[in-house]
Amino acid sequence: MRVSDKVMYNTTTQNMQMSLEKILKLQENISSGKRINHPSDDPIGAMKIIDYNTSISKVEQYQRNIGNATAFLGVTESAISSTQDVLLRAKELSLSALNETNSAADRAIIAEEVSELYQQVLQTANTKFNGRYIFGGYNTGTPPYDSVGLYEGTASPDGYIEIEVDSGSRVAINIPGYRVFGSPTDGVDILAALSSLETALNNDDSTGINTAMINIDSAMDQLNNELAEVGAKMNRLETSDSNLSKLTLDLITYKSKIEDVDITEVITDLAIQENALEASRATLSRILQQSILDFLR
Amino acid sequence: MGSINNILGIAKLAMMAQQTAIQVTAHNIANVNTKGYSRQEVVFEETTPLNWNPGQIGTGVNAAAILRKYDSFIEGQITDNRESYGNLDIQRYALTNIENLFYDSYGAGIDNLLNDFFSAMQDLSANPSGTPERVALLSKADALADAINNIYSDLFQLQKDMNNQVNQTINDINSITEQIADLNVKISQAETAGHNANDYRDMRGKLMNDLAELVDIQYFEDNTGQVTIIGGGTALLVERGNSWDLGTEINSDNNDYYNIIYNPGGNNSVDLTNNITNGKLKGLITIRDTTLNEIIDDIDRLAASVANEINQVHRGGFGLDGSTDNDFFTPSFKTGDPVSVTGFSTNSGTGDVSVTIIDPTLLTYHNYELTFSANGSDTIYTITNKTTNVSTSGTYTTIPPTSPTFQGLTFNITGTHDPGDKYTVSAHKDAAKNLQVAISTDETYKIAAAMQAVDNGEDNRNILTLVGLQDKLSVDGTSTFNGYYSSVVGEIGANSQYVNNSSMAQKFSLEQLDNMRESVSGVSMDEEMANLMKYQNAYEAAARLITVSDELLQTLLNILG
Repeated sequence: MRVSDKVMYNTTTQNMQMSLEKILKLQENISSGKRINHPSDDPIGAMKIIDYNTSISKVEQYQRNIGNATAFLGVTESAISSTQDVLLRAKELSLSALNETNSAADRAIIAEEVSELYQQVLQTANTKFNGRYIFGGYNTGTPPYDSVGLYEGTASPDGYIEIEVDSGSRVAINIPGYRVFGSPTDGVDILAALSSLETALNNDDSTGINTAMINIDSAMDQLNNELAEVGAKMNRLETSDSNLSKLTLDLITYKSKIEDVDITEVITDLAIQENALEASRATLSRILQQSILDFLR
Repeated sequence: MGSINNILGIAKLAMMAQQTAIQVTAHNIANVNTKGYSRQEVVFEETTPLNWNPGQIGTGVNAAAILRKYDSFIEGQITDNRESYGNLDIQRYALTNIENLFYDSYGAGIDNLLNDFFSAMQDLSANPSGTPERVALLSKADALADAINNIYSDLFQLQKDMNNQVNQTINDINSITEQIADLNVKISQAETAGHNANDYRDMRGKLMNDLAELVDIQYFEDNTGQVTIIGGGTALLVERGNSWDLGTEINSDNNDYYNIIYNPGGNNSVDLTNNITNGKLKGLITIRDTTLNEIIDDIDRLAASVANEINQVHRGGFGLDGSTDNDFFTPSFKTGDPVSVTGFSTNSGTGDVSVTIIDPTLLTYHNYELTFSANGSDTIYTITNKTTNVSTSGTYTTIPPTSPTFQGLTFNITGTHDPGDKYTVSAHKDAAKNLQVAISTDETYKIAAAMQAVDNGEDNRNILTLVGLQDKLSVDGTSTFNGYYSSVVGEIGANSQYVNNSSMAQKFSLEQLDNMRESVSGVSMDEEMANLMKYQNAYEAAARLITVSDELLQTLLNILG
């Protein structure tokens, strides 16, 4: 092949250009840490990354939801167990009130303490978490139990605030007040039971005290059931949370395998391209410096 | 017998011939870096000998011709390659721009904004009355709508840019063909006079290559050395000293973009837009009319399905203030909303067509065509879904009024419609351009999280249904929003990858061909310097001949003297 000056020049510059293009691409890969910077780098890979990003974002959101639910259920749990303590005390008091040695005046004193317990339960039933009444069902505007202990939250069977903890799987983060503290129409109305205990004590009415005590017993069963349900839910959420953590980790690993550069490989490639570029430059400088004119004197 | 005068004559001819050769060498050296230049070479020829005693005796040398070193086969291949290169290179440029709009490896793409939007809904579901959660949801929705608007306007801008480039390219083509016609005349004049028009041919060759990069051409050279060029398959662009311009014409059926027309006689305009098969012009038309239209259609479809699906659920819920039937996004895609109808400019009927949504749940986000045809004295209307090719048709009457319903749309047809009249109908057209959040940040209470009108502060049932849309196969019943977006990105990426690879391959083969051309036609300094010395030596020797002849004459004169 006849070699003209342009062939020589073009070949070397084209080679340099090619090396430079590859180096630019490698530099982009190194600086972004990513193998795929444009969809054309790997169209299928780019699609998978988008899908993984969606899955990761969803899983992370489910974990946040679980965090919210756990906090809400935690407050519910402590509210129920503190009510249990109150009812235990109420039962103790009614037992001692039933003792024949107590006079009507003694019972009136006990009635005062029961009245305190009533207030305590009422306060617990109107517990607020982040400004929200946790036993109100859907209704957050007003306290679920009014001053006379009447339930004003969302009526049975509604009032469950559900959130997604996995695709299509929902968990209620609350238990409506009517399930825990009861209402005139649902379960044992705990506040009514305490209130009738107080009345019976004030009236020195042992039959009334007995009836109230039976009611308080069933109220404690009711609370136990709800507490068990809250506990079960929290366990389930904890299991989901650790599964989701593992899933996030897996998804991030899969995504990284597609998206991230193998830094050793890229650096090696870069070194190879740099060598090629250096060689082209050396050739260009040596060949183009030489001229027949140097020898014509 | 020889004569001293003849020796002088030979010396003179030799000096002139070598001088010509030195001049050609100088021209070669001067043009070592000129694009499209072919090196030239002097052809020496012995002059006619004299019949003499003891026999024929030479009379010297003559520079008979100056030839250019040139391989017409390689030149033809370069022309072909330049056509494909021009086509692919502009597509590569456009697709690189497009794909970067759709993918962001740093996590700010539409897909991430969709995820953020749904995450904000999830957060709201955990605290339905929370103002911060409501404000956050609106700002995520705004970010999503803005990003979709921006993609749309960038795509539209690129489409307009492609259109302007069509016009520029036409101007470039016209300027080149004019110059070629001019060179045709110069070449023919020089060559009929018996000279090789080397430089003019180089210039014409370069212009033809430049022309090929812009539009596909066929050409041949006639016996006077003039080329005839046919562009775009059918249009005679250059013949002898004449050239005919391509022109542009606004096409109202294609967004007022330019059609390419050819009107040589001034009274018979031919539309060449679809006849062009290669070159930059083809690349521009492909990007403008096919690639970008499809992608804009895709992003409109995504925007429309997001707006329609979210709105349908949102309208069924209740805000904190008890209000209901509120849209979350505009366009609302409500029953009764008009959709885009475009009549063709060729329609001759004076009637009117308007299309409204009758059932938002049935919308397909496909494009439709409404056509009219004749059946005896009846006018028949046909509505075709251009994606699935499912169609419906019937007889058009004014009494009772004809308003067929098809796939969630009602077509209200009035007035006269002639056979052949055509309308395109699309419910999702411009959704990406117009997508906006319908609820302002001081009306966050309007976000319909609840399913009951009162005492609903903690009621998140409607938000849960909205959250569920993230996993619903809403787009064409086959993809989720994100799944659809990812398939669009995959398609664009694959297209861009293909064009990138082809254009790189084309560039590489063009470089190879260029090197082959330069190998034949390129100037080598070493060669030229060697030639220069060769001719210089010959010139010096010829000059010495004159000295010798002079001495011979002096000797004679001295004898006489």
